[in-house]
Amino acid sequence: MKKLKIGIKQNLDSLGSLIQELKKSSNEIGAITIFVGVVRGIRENEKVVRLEYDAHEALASQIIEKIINEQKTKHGIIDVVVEHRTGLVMVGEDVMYVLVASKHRREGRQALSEIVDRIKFEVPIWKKEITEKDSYWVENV
Amino acid sequence: MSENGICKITVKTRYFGKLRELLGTRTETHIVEKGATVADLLLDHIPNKHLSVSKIWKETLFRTLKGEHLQEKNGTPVLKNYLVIINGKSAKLKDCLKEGDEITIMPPFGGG
Repeated sequence: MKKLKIGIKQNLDSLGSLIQELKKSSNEIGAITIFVGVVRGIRENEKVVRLEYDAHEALASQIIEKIINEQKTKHGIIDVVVEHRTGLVMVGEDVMYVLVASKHRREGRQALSEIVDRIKFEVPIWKKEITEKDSYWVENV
Repeated sequence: MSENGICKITVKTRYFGKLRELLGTRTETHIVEKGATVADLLLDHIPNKHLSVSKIWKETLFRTLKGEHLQEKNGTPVLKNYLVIINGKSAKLKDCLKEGDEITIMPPFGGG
């Protein structure tokens, strides 16, 4: 079992350093597939000012680990890194990185898509959107 | 703990997202009667401690119809899609609280 790297924290590590770290985890890696979540500046014609994230960090890490292990079994991927920010995040800033290392790109892409979807719906992270006119907590339902 | 002959226990609650914002706190403690349930905590103890937002609290957590709380056949109120966790494990409204329990109330998730 490869070492997972999961971070629910105020600042993300640099994408470059995460890629380098993943590459070191196995010489079987032939593809690293990456998702970068970015704070969008417009939502339903309203200008977004910033986002505020809250998280149950311990439980979130535990659930992400479960999701990753299930995806490893399902798709045979080699290793995964997930980092998600908490606190205030400004428009245009990165908010989440998911990196999937696999032997080939196909299983990496499938696993990446499923991991990102499941993080939105299964992991205890909350997002408040502050627009120029209003603010509200977003519910991924 | 005993007060007027009634056995009491102490539990801790944790709030996240819109609930933390609504109540203005991340954690707090409640002294409740032994045998109190999760429903008692959510419908009585927490709103009674936050009277200025008690109506919003109940409307946020529970399903209502024309201002009245919807109830199951056994009288239990119907929670919206909020999760209650006790000591890291999923809990139900009818579950009894124990001394030292940590109850986490989680709104629908919104990460990513």
